[in-house]
Amino acid sequence: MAFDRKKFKVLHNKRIAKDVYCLELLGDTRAIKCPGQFVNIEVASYYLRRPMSIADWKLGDETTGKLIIIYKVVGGGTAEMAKIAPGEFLDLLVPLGNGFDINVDTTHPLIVGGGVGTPPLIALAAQLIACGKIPQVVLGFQSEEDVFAVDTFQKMHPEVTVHVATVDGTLGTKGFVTHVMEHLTYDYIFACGPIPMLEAVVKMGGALPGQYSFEARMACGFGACMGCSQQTTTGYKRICKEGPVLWKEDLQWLI
Amino acid sequence: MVDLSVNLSGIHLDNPIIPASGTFGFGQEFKDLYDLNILGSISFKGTTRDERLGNPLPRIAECTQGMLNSVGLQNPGYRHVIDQELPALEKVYHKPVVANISGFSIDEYVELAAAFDKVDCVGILEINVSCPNVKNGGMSYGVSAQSAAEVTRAVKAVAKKPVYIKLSPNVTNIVEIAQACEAAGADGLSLINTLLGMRIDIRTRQSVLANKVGGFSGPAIFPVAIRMVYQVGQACHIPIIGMGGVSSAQDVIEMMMAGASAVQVGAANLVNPWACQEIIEELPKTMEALGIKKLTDIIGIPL
Repeated sequence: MAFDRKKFKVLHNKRIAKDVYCLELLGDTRAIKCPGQFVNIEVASYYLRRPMSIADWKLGDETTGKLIIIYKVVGGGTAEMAKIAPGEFLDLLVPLGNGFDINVDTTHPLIVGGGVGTPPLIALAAQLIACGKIPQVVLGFQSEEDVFAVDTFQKMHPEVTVHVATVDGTLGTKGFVTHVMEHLTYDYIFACGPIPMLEAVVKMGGALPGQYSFEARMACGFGACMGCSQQTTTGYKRICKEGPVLWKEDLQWLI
Repeated sequence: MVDLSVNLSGIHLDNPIIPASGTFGFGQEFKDLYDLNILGSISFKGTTRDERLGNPLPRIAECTQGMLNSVGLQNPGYRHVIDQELPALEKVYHKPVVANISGFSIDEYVELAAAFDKVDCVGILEINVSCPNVKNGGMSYGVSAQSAAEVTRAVKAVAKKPVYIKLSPNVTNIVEIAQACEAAGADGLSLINTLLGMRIDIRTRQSVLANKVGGFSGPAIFPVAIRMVYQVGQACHIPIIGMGGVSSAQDVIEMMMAGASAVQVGAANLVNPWACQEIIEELPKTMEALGIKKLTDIIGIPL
C-alpha cells in the first residue's frame, strides 16, 4: 500500500487552545484508509517534514476532500506552521502509518487522549460510533487553557460521555487520565498520548486488549530511515510504518 | 541525445544515480513509488554480521538545511539480508547493487565481504569504515590511514568484486586516508559519510538525540563533500562515488566535476521519496543546457 505526495489547499488555520491550532485542508483524501494514520507535511524553511496525525477527514478528491490536522506549537517547525494562511498550498505525504483497527471485539470501548495525542482519536470515535460501538472518552491536559476537542466528541452522539482530567485541577478531575479511568467500566482501550501516559494506561488496563498510538521524532515517515524504530515484544517496529498504532501485545516493554 | 552512462571498475551504470546506504532500506519502501530500475544502482542499508538494534530514540534531529541521525546501524544481520532482503530486492530491481557493510573487527569485515562477494546481484562491495553512530567500531577504522589500509587489504584478499572504501569526513586529513586505501588495493572510494554533529534542546536542556551525537547530512554538507571529493580526486587514481547533500541534477553535475564517477543521493530521499527519479529525469535537460554530451566527459575536469 503506497502513499502519495499531494498538494492541499489551506482553508483555515485557527488557534483552538493554548499553542494548539486546527488546520483545515482541501485536497485528495481518497487514499486514507483508517483513523490513526498520519501525514508528513513540508514546512517552509525547515528541512525535515513534520509528521502530524489526521484528526479527521472527509473522503473526496482534490476539490471535495477535506483533512483536519490539529497540532501544538512545540518548536520552530510548528511555530512556522502556525503562520500558514488560508489560500496557501501545502505539500503532504499521505497517508502514512497503519492506523487503528476498529473491527475488534468490543461493546464498551474506552478512548484515552493525552494533550496533543487527542486528535487522531476524533476520527476514531466517529467511526466506532458509526458501527454502533459507543465509546467513553477520557482526555487529559495540563490545565484548562490547554483543553480542546471536548465538544467535538460530545456532539458526535448523545450517549458519548467525555471526562476531562487536568494536572492542575482547573477543569474536570484533578490529576491524570488514570484517575478518571479508575471509576469507569470498559472492555477495550484505544489511546494516544505521551509515552508516560500510555505506560500508565496500559498498566491500568491490565489484561484488557487495546491499541496505543505513539509519537516519535521522524525523518522520512515512510519506513526508509529507521529513525523511529522501536523495540517491542513482537520485534522491532518502525513507528512510522508498522505503527504509529501498536497493539497491547506489542507493549510488554512499557510495563 | 546525451549519454548518462558511467562505469565503476568495470560495472556499467545506466546513469550515475545511486540511493545512499541508510536512506533507501532494501528498496521495499520505494518500489511502489517508481520503477527502481531507472536507478544506476542501489546502496543498501549498512549491514553487519549480527543483527543490530540500533540506538535509543530519539534518533533524528532537524538542522538548518539538514538533519542529524543516530540510528546506529540498525540492521537484521547479513544472513537475513542475503536470505530475505536481497531476494526480495532482486524481484523489483534487476541491476547490480552496492553492498554496504560495516564491521567491529577485521574478521567481521572479512566475513561479510566474503559472503557478499558470492551473491550474484552484488556488483560492488562498499566497505563502511565511517559510521559515526556506533562505539568501538565503524568509524574507528576510518580515522587512521593505517587501520583503513588494514581493512582494505584484508577485504581485498577475499573479494573478487570491486572494493570501495566509504570514508569518514571526521578526520584531519581525508586525502592521506584515501591514499592509504588506494595503496592497499582499494578499487574505489565512497565519500563522504555524515559529519559528526550535535543539537541541544534549549528548553529541556537536553541533547535532542538520545545518543547525544549523530551524523549530519543534507544540503548543508554539500560544499564539504565537494571539497573532499575534489581533494581526494586530485591525489588518487581510483574512481570516487561522491555523496553528501546531493539534491538536484545540478548538484550531480557539480559533484562529478569535482571528481566523482558516480553520485549517491542520501537525505534527499527522506524528504522527497521521488528525489532520485526527479534527478534522473532532470539530468538530460541540465546536461543539454550546459552543453554536456557525455557525463563521463566532466568527471574531475581541471578546475
